[in-house]
Amino acid sequence: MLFAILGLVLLSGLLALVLYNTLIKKRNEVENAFSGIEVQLTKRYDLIPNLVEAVKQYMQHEKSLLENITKLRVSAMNPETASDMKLKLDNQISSGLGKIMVAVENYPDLKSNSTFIELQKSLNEVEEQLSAARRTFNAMVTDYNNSIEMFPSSIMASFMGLRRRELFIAPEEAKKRVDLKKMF
Amino acid sequence: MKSRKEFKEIYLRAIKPKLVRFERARNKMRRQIFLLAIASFVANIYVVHFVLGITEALFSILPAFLVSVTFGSYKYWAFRREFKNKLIAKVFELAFPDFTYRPNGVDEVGDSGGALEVLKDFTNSKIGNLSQMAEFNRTSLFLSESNTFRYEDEISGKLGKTDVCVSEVFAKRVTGSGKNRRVENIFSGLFFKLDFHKNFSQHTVIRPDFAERFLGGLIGNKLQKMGSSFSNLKLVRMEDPRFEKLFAVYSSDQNEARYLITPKLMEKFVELQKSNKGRVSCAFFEQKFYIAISSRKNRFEPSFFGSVLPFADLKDIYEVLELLQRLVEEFELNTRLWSKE
Repeated sequence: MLFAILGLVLLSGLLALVLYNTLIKKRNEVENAFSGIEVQLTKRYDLIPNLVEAVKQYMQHEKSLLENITKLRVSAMNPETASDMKLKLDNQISSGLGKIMVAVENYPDLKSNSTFIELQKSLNEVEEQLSAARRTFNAMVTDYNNSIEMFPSSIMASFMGLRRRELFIAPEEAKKRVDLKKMF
Repeated sequence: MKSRKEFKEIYLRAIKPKLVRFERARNKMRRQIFLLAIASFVANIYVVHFVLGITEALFSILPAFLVSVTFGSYKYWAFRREFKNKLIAKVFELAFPDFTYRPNGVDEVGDSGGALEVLKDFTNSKIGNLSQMAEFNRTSLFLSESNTFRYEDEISGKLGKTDVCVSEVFAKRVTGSGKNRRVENIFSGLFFKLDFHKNFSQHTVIRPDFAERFLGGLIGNKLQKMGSSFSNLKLVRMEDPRFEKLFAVYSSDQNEARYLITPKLMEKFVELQKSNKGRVSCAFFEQKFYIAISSRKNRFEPSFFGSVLPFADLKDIYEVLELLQRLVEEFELNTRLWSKE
């Protein structure tokens, strides 16, 4: 009888240990995936000044749009800006970049400018990488959320005080993406 | 690329007259093999029974059988070589000049068709197969590594900005010997090697998913995860349920896997699988996009028993090229929106 109780205690302890480690691993994977998004966002921020510089001499009517995107970039890059705020700013930047790409249609000279074409390719690359990083983040968050809500790991998760994380949802403007192929 | 109608016109005008010559050669080859078989059986029986006085049935036919098979194989190999080097190559020259056709995936030796060259050609194809086998295994398209491999009928060229190459591959794994000999058929079918329009540095494969299809999402997924835990390619879950039901993705970098396998690409893979009877697998490796589509058919082979004249046999060439073009178009490989030129 004593051995049975001891065995049960040992087994429960082992299960708790495995669950604890699994949850910690999944939480860290979510954090890691979020930093993957940040890396891509930084790449995108680095491209914005060059893009603004390349288009501003052509886009005289969109001056305020260009100034606004520059301001948004500065705010987003500020280390004191909170993560939630960063994501909001990122959505606004996405929307601004989309508007610039639509406006480019009115400037044939700009569309054929080699510097702009190169910049646009780099921007497409970053956008695609960013999209991949967001999808990875969502996959990790889904896995993490499943773990903290499903039995028996949900018990351990409540002990550890783990909370459900929100998925990254693309802003409406970003969903209506510009067909970049038509621009070449 | 020429239309199917144009190809048929070229067939009727320029290829069919050549095929008639090959048909005559095929008939001659069959007659020679038949006559030699009869002669060797008669000689065999005469020598064994009347000269040596042996009465065992095995000795009455075995030497003649071996001689006939060796002679027949040599004659057919020589005919097949001529057919591929002269006729199929001519088809490409006339109808698809932008593509290069290599029957064994290696540069051919001479052109005279002598016995020595047939032997050299045979050896060359075996050596060529070794390097192609190493490349095929490195892609990790399939779980087992092949050790018995045949690579033939390579077509290469450029479609727009994309370098393309397709060949027939027959890959097996043979283990043990005697009674313990086990042959595992890994793959037979078309093996495409294409230039991809994005840069990548990691290794990603898309394999047909049997576990999830037959055991359901939860158990199937667990099995897949367990299967990939000892490999450097880890299971990557994708968002599209239709894609996930048909395929399993493994990669050394899940971010890069999602960069390459976009939602649109997943849709294209589902369509490709639905429109093909064979299983579709794919690998992104060393800057190349590999697609393997399994098939039981052995294309570009001259028939031994039937006529070589019908258009249906040559139609295979057109269908392979059509599929190649479709892959380039469907996967938008000529679209260079990204940093790759």
